[in-house]
Amino acid sequence: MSDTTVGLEQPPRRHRFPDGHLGWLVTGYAAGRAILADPRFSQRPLRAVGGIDDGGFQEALSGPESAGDLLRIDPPDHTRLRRLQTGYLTVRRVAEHREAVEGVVAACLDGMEEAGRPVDLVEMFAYPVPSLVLCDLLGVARSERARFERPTGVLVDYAGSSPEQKKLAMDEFYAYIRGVIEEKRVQPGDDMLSELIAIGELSDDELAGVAFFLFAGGHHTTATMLSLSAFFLLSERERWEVMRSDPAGIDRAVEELLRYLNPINDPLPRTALEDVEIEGVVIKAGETVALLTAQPSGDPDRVEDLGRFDPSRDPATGHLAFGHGRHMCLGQHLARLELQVALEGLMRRFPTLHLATAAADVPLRRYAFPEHGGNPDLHGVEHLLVSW
Amino acid sequence: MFGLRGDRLRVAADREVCAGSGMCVRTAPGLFDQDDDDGRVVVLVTELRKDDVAAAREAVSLCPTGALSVDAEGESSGDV
Repeated sequence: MSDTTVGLEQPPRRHRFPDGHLGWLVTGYAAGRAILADPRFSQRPLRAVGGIDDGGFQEALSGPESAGDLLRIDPPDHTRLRRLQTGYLTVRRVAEHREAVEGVVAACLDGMEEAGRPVDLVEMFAYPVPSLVLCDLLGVARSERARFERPTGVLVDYAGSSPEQKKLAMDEFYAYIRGVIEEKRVQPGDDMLSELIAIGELSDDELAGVAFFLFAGGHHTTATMLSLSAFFLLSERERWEVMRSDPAGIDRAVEELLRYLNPINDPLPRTALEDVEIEGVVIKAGETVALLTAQPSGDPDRVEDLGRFDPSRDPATGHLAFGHGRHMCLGQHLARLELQVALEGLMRRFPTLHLATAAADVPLRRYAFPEHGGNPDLHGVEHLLVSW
Repeated sequence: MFGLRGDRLRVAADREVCAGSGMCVRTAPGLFDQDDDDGRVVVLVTELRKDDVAAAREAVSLCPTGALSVDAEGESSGDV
């Protein structure tokens, strides 16, 4: 693959969004990283991702519960809500979950074996692993995972579901989760949601929004990264064998997969709260900036040959797969753990794992505007038929 | 600049700016930890030994909110 990042190292440039608004497009690493870290930019969504017709996506997430969605709020509320949740997802706390994650992965591998080859890795493995881990974290029955997965599935089917369907899916979810919150208020469990309720500092709207944010932010993303990684490794067998031959290198390899495959296309547009000068241009207060961080990511001053996949690379690449700044992924350490344990488990249980179709026939979620049949937030594979 | 005039290098963290990403713990686990309650940075080693300087500077540069700095004792700049 050629180095696709070189052509993107340009200063911010004017961009007219499809809704007519004149803003900015930023593709360069340094400018993108600076904007993500700059408190003078707001994360509150004023318009859809990239200003496109998102089929009611943003509208469905604009209800009172968005007060609990870390991706859609600014300080001081963001600071208050993030600090309440971060203690559950620190490096040390996440490491304590390793055994539980291994148990979830083993159960999903059992399910694949029982189903018999070939199986759709997306359906049988990539989605259940993060979903079940999050059910445990939030303290809801694993059998309830569809309650969380359904609204996300409807939302990210940008062009395929109507604005009314998206709104209805969210209404159903919030009705469900408010019931769960009521139950936990009466009978708390040993879980993150129960403890957040017990602290007594979050409103019911915020609690419902927090539950959606944690699940939506933690399963669709990780599932996409996991299935895309499997596709990438299996589509050139040598990559799979190299990784399989070095179990001790799993942390580096996963970090390189994150850097290289980086499935987040646009980490939500930012809006300048005041005039900000970036690389010689002035982004005026109120103007929107779309950041395209997908592509092999990483600091060009830190990493040699960004366009080359090298699982033995020093993991400190400054990649943006988890974002940057105060909104940097809250669950990044849990995501790393899940990816590591899941890929290790796959390689150990099914050393002969291979694609059951030609690589060219694997259906992709491409980065494109919804009216062109694409997906503006994550790229990956829709299904991945594998055998062993 | 380490050792140039025998200056000691110190690590400082601005906990108001810290977002609890844990990047510093991942990068230099011997130097940083996170608060159990809110995930914010806890500096474990304030005065750096020579062997720790590179890891500390790496943590400074990877911190997503610019909450960390490494300075010679008495200096106030956070630039590295």
